[in-house]
Amino acid sequence: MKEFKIALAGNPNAGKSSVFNALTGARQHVANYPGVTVEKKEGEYIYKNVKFKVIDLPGIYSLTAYSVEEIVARNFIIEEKPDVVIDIIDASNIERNLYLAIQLMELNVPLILVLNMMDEAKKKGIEIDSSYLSKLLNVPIVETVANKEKGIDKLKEEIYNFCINKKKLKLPKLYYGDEIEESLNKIIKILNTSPNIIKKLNPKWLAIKLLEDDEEVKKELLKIFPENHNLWQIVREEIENLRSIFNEEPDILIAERRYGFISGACRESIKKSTPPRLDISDKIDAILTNKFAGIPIFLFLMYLTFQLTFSLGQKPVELLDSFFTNLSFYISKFWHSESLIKSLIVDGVIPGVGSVIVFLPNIILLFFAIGILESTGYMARAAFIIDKIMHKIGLHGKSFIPMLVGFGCNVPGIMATRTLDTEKDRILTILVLPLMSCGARVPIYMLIIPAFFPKQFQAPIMWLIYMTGILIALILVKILNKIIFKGVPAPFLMELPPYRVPTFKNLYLYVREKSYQYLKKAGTIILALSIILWFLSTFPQTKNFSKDYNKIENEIKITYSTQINNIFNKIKDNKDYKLILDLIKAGKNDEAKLINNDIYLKILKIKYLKLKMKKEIEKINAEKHAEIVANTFIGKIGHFFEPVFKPIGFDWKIVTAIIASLPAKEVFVSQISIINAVGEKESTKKLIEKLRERYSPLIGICILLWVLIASPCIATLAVTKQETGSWKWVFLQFFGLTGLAYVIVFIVYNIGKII
Amino acid sequence: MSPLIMFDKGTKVKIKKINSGINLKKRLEGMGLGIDKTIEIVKTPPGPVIIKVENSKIALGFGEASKILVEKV
Repeated sequence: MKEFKIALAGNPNAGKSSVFNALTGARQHVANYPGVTVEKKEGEYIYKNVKFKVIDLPGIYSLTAYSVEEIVARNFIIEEKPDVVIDIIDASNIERNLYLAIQLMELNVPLILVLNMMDEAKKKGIEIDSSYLSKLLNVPIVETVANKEKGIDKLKEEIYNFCINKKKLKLPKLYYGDEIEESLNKIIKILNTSPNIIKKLNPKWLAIKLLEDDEEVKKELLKIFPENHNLWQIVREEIENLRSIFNEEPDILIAERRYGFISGACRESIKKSTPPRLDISDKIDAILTNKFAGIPIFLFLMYLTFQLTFSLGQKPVELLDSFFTNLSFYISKFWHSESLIKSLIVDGVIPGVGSVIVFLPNIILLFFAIGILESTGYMARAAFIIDKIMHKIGLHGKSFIPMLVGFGCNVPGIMATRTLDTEKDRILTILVLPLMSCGARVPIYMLIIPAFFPKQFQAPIMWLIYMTGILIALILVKILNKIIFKGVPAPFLMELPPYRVPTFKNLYLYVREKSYQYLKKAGTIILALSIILWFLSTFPQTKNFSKDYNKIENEIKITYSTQINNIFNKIKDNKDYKLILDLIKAGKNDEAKLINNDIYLKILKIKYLKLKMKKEIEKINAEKHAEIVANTFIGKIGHFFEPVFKPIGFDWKIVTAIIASLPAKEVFVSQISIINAVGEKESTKKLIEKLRERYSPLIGICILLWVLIASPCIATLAVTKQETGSWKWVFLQFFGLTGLAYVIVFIVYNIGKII
Repeated sequence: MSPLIMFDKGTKVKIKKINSGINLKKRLEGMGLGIDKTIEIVKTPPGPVIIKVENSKIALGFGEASKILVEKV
């Protein structure tokens, strides 16, 4: 089958994802561009027996070298040479969106323009004669309303024709004015002396970029033209020349010419009438970004998000939980031999992986909520609203978005700091980002909070924990800003896209992708760790116990059985025995007492003795388990570190779980369940009971705080290294946060003890 | 020619000059805020400024907005 590669480019908020989803449907996956952490979405579709591979480039406004996204998109187009580039244009913002189109034309790449959101444009009174515009620009244009799947077939047909016929379109000659053209020609002449260039790149584009002083292009060209080559001399001269003629930087002049060309083309092909009524987006904005109402609404929406995630998620979570408990139970029931493999599956794999999968409903709901916030356009407002506060602390309003993403997972959150403009903002945000409670910490909260707090306090405490994280992050930024960085805050500049109704399909694909990523983690990292942890908590097996537990158990059994039998023998032949027993079983104790008080009391005594026996056996078994676990590797590690954690109230079991959860936070749950359940099959409900027995609510709070503040997971640390490029920040993040957690939990624990 | 922050809500103005470093200039330019572009002021200080250009709204910090010199249309 023939295969073609097509790339989607376009401004943020132009509906690029909608077009991508409409083209590829469910056949897509997410990867990363090599070397950088910009997301690379790929998908494919088949049309008329031809396969089309679609690459969704990051959303960009321009093709300069001022952000990683722009460089990535540009390099992809230049190096991978897609068969056609589709530029998605928001028809209601056509002039601005054409700016990117013009730059793609400069690159001389095969191009199709998509005028998306035509319905919105019409509503705004913008009428576009797209066939005329197509003639003016010499580029095929397709009109779509991608979120309603309108025009997608036409687009597919156009792409098909374009690729099959290999139409070599002659793009319009952009004229930059006599003086600039003259400078460009001088530079092109020198560029043409190198055969390498003509083959790969459009010399005019390179010349334009040189006049624009584009760092990336300069870097690449230095490989061909060494620093002493007269190219650089000429470029400097021409820049100086243009500067002296126009009293303006050449790159600004070039931008002006581009906009001049665009407004010329638009004047001829677009009719604008005044919009029929007041803009709905403006009305909504008047409320949501209101000086007084904005922040309360913002906090309320965050609160709602978490209520949705957890209240609605509770039932399915319980169902999944009982499914895994039953699974373990039935496997051990029907698998009679006491082999190590059975133990591995029943005690290691199922509880470990199960404890992650159980929280899938929460993850789905959370990302559903975040997806709605994002696709309606509220996310940008949130950044705007919070900017005032963020600015006071010394952060950018834009930092809020990575932090918000961090609530899903810190790793993409840290990656999202690339949208920030300055190194200072990026590093500050990365350092404190782990304080945003990520999805992996949710399972821990969902275990600890219900264990120690009554139902009506659960949601507020959850909310409080999230807010505490934010508060600590804000204070830390303020401190770090004073100590380490002493610069001015970065420019605040961001688009507030019009409010839009999210489509089910786009939401579904978004949630599906996030859930898949979460499950992939469960299937790989967590599975591997569950096996390792099972190994660490099973070996070395205790052969010689400090006491003969079996003997003690037998002794207990014998002692109690003798007593019980003695009493039983005395009453078993009494004619009233059966009747009284039945009455007690039916709960009619008073009637039973009246018939024969002596027998009644003796039956109660038997009951009491049986219960006491059971308790003592349980106690001795617990002692035995404690000894078994204490002797394993994990127990030894926990015990070794126990003295360090004693001042903050943690015993070796918690310490063990904390250490085991270094690779991934959610492991805490499976670890604490394994540690408490060796030899027993216990559900979350039972685990909660056990925790309640063992620890006070104060310890519960201490665990929550520790999980919130202390050491980020290994994936987060790795991505911090990748993004900051320096171990210095990784160490600061790891030891700084862990140290802070220790201090805070120490204070809380000791104050709590007094109270 | 006066800074963007000096005008009232609802005023339509034309961008005349941008007194900033190349980084901000390039970003503004990509978002459609080039010289001679007509914009509408949606929100005025205190706090960030919001302007409308074509069908989209752009939020600018106070500092950024004060670097943009405009003329009333």
